[in-house]
Amino acid sequence: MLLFKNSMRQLFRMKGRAALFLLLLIFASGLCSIGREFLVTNQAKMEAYEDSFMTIGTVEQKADQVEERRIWDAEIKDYRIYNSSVYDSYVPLSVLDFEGADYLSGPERRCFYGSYMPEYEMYGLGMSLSEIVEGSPVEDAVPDHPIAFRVTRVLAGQGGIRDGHVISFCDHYNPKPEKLYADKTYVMSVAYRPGHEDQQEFEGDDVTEYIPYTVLESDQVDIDGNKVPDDVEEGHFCDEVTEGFYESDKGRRWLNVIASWDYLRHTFPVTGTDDINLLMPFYNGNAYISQGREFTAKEYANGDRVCLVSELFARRAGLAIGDELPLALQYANYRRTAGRAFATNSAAAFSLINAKGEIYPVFEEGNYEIVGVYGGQAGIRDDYGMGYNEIIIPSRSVKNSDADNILESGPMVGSNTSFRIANGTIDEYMEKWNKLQISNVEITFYDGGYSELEANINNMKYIARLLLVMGVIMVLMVLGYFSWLFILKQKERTAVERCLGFRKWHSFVSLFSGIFLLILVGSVCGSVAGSYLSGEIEGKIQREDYYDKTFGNSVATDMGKTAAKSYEQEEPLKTAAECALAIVAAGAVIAAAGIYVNLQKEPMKMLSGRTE
Amino acid sequence: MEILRAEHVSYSYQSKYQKVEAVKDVSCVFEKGKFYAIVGESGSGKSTFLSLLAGLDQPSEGTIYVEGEPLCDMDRDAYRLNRAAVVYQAFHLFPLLTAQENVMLPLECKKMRKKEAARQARQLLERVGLESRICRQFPKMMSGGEQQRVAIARAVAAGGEIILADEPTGNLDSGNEENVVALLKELAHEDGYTVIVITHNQRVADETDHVFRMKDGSMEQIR
Repeated sequence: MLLFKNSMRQLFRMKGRAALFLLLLIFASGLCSIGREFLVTNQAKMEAYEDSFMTIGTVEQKADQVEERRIWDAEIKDYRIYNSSVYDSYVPLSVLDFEGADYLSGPERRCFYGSYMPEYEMYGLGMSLSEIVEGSPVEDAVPDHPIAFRVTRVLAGQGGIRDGHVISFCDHYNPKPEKLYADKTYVMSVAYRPGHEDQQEFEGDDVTEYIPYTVLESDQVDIDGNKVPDDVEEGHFCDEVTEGFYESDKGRRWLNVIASWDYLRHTFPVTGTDDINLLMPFYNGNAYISQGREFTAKEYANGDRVCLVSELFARRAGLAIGDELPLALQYANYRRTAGRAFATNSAAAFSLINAKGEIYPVFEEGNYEIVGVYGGQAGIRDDYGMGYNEIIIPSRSVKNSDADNILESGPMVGSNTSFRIANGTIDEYMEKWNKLQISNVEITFYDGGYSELEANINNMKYIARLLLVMGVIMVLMVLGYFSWLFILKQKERTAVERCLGFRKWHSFVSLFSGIFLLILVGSVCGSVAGSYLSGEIEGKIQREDYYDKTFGNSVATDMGKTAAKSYEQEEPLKTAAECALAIVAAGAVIAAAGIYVNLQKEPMKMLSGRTE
Repeated sequence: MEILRAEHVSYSYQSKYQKVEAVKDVSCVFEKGKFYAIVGESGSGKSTFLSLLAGLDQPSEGTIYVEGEPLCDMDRDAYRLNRAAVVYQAFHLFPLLTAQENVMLPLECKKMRKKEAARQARQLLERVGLESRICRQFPKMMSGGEQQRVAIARAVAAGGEIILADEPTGNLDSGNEENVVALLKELAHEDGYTVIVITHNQRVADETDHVFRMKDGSMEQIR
């Protein structure tokens, strides 16, 4: 205690120097603390963002050319010109499998499957207003304009037309429609789709125009996207019904088509994926797990039979977590997404008949355990939306090939092909991708604004490092200079103390305790002040802009909020304490080294000034 | 009565270029209550010998005995704190402590209570002929003679029996020199201290009881 008091007494008699030392050390410690605090905070932010943000890329094959399509319009008696994209061939998914592509999940080229589940009904699905009817024109006529057609029997439909109805019928888009005879009976599929603005009225029935709806022809394609040959010519929608017609091949096909109408009511879209975040609705937060859980990595990897169902479907079907769904996959659609095909205001507008004229047979079936229920918007007819009553499964759970059950095919587009990479690696990825020089495939990235935030944070980290380095250099300079002043220049004092009988450790304590206290006070005050200041500064520059310029703001805001919430939990005083501790330790080492040097000097040699 | 005895004491060290034999086979005896001078030219080994007597260094060969006990076997820090004190040519007071605090320091190191240490310090300062106003003054405010007196008072406070003084009058004018020498003489003859001074000054040597001369590390008694 005496030694400490003596040390303090002598130190405080150098008031000016001690005060200067204290102030400089406070300033330097403050710089260190601010730098470290910024570094830690921004690192924590970055880590929080790392967990909250994710970067996905979507892939789109560009059309090889745009072709003019001329479609006859019976109303204007001329062709209407439409542009349509033409692909010479579909680029395979394997193009994305290149050296250096480091995917966290995917890339995957998704299709949706149709699963026939007669136990469950697609309540509320907006079925296409198409009907299969038998009937005859009221009089012989070429349907190049709306003609009166009497329906004698409705074979399949949704109640839009009833037996005996007279409908307005026009082969609207056919430049050379065949003549229909009043004394013949025809089976035809028609759809409510007014082509003429002026609606006709026949025999007092208030009917609107129906046009042909081609369901007899199969859309089936092979694995390469080539159409599987079909006996039915393109655009065929109508056949004359003669005796024994339904026993003929064509008649049986009609019966199959009629039967498939019922399938539409019980067929649910099923999408397989390796990561639900690759599905845009889940990525952007429009769909979310509201009960249960997502699939585990193991379930994805093993292809376990687990599934996610929508809240609406679960509620209507009385399903709960743990229940099993008997999925029976009939077809795969590689052209449209479930979000496009299964909407509440529209129906799947494709034929369920394969090239053999039969309803697609089930190629994969099994019971899938419901592990999660998702909420959010669905069935709004959006390529990037969830399909109505869409069921999600791990893609690897489909073990059998769908090669013979492909209903439609198409190119990779943003809504069906995506992958996930590590945040902040877009440039690296694109550099490698561009080296491949694949010009007809375009990749679009969505990172919720991560790149922008990362750039800002990297700037902040750079400033933080600069402050930290400046602070450290200044601390070392201050400690070094004042150690020289308070210790090395006091070697005479040490020598006198030694001559007076002070033991080495007495002399050590005598010099060390005072300066150590100053270092302690200076570093603690500086670090705490720096920490407080950095908190204030951080608060002021707290950004609110999580806007994702690429995609939209909903996802970015959610990600940003989550991230902000997690990094706010950091304890600033912990950083200040670490900083102060480091400075105190450095100061102690420097001071101790100085004192050690002093103690190595031979006291008499020093005090007598002798040179030998 | 013998208090210090050097027997065949030698001290050598390795300088940058060669081995230096600073003290060569020195034997001598110092008695209580006597005033000694060691004279010699610069570099003759006087200060080295003094540091050996102070226990700040150990002889390379030979032994120094303190009242018959080998110094090398003793706690040499305790020896300096309780029995032998050193006074320097340049005073070497603690510049940031007052005269009284300088003197109090060794007393407080001996665990003396602060009040008692202050009282004794004042007495010692009075004993060396300093006015009470000096007590609160810092060394830089004092004259050389005053500073040396404070240094002697501190040595007296520190050491119990032996005062080792290295050129104590080297920085003093003749008036102060006389006073300091008289004080040291008085401490030896009246208070029973063994005072050993190193000096170049013949006048100082003349005031002592015995004189040793050192030359090239060797010592001979010339009086």
